Amino acid sequence: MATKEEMKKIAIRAIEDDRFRADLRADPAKAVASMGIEFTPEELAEIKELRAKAVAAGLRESKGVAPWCALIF
Amino acid sequence: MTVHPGGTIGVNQSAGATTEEDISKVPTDSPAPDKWGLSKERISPAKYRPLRIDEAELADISGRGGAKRFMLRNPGNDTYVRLGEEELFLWNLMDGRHTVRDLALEYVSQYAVPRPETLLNLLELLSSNGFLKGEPPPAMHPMVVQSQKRRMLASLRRLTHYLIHGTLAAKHIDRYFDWLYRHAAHYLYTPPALIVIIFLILADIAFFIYFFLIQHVDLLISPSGVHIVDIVSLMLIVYGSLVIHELAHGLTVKAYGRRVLRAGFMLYFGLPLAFTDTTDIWMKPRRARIAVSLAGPCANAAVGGLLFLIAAFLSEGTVRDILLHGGILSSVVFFLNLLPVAETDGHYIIQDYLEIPRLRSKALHFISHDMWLKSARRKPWARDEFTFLMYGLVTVAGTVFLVYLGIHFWITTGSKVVDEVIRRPHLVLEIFGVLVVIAGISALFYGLLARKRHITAEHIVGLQRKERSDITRGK
Repeated sequence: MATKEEMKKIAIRAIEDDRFRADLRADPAKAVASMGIEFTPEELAEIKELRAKAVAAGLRESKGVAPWCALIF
Repeated sequence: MTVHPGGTIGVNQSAGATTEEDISKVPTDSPAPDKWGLSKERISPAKYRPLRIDEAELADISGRGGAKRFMLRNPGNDTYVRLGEEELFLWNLMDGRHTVRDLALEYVSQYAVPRPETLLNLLELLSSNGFLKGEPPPAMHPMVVQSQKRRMLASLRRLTHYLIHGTLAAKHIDRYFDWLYRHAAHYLYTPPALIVIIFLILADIAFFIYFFLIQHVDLLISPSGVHIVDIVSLMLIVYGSLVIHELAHGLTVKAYGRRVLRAGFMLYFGLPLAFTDTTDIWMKPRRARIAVSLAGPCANAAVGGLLFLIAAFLSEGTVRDILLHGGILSSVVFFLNLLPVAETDGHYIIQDYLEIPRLRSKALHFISHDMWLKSARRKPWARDEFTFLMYGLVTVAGTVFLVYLGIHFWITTGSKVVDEVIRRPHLVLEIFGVLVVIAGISALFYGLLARKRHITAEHIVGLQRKERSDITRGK
């Protein structure tokens, strides 16, 4: 089980090292093992879980669809 | 912040200092600075200190029992970014003092797990939508270069877009919607009025099924062949329905206390349509967003029901025919706008109900690509992917209904118009004349509005927003 300090080390390396970040996304267990850290299955599941919810909300443009659009479609 | 040789980590939160300031602060009497180290620091995303804009508006749009969701609005460019609880935590830390590395550490302290993608995705989104002050973070530079490379392609796209989807919008339309809502339309949002509206919608559906699908009534008024009055009345009824539709969307936005950003007319594959920009309703929870999307079609159904009911009390004649056709066309507008075959109101209702932004593009991408790939590799589907398939099936069903409507229109009305044109070619000239008169009146109307500086080149702004959101999506 990784300690909080180890988690912080992983976080910093992931921010600074693009290749490590890519490895962490592809295979977290292997990536952290390269730093001498071992994850429990629960920690692995936690880190794999996609939490990024930020998304650009697109335009909401109501276009009144007229009957002749049936001919276009 | 430094990482000590022993592996311990210390965070140095010197207030208000950017990386450039850090460099300028190197004391002159100190040993010669490590230039390579300083350069590395300058281009390091980890050293970047994001600073959020002061004017951003934040709203809690969480539904009942669901996960916490927030909407950020940039009033400077009317862009909106949806955040989760964790991203809100990071947003609150973007005060220009914390570096990206600090944010990553604070995230781990708070949530116990490192998720660099959450932080970097958020930074990219905020930066590309103007939510951060100053220069974009270093990691954003490849993104900007990429968009510059696409400049030629973007110009071509802009031209094509203008020809196919050119818009003419009144920018300060909100004040008119606001006036109309405060002085009259707010009565429509009271419980007694809503009961009457529901009754009219039910009447509309019943009458539409009877007249259109059972009686197969055509849409021509003159009993002795097709006349120009048929064409003009059809056009007036349809445009009247579309104006009512857009008014209902805009007024419902006002009923929820938000702003109508733009409204006007647009070309949709060369055909003129009315439109309303209701993007500001993103700042309200799901129920409000669904209500705004429902308002347009429901207004058409209510007007249709009213026209049918009046027609039912009239004896045979031109007035009754016009009301009947008005009812049928309003009902068609009601049904068409609920079908999720394009980015219609029906699409937005489903998208808001499921809380999946950009549902259509995601679903189309899954159905056209990932679904086949996963099936071939026998990989399990995620929960959202079943939703995408269901959405695709609903779209197919909607398209079938649309094709049926097209065929029905052709058999009952279109073929008669074509027969009449072949028999009497000058009817084409009459129709053309009417179109020229309508175009002339419209040009005069817009010219007058433009003189008052209410009309802007909004299509360009709209395109820039679309391009920006495309880049954000990585298209």
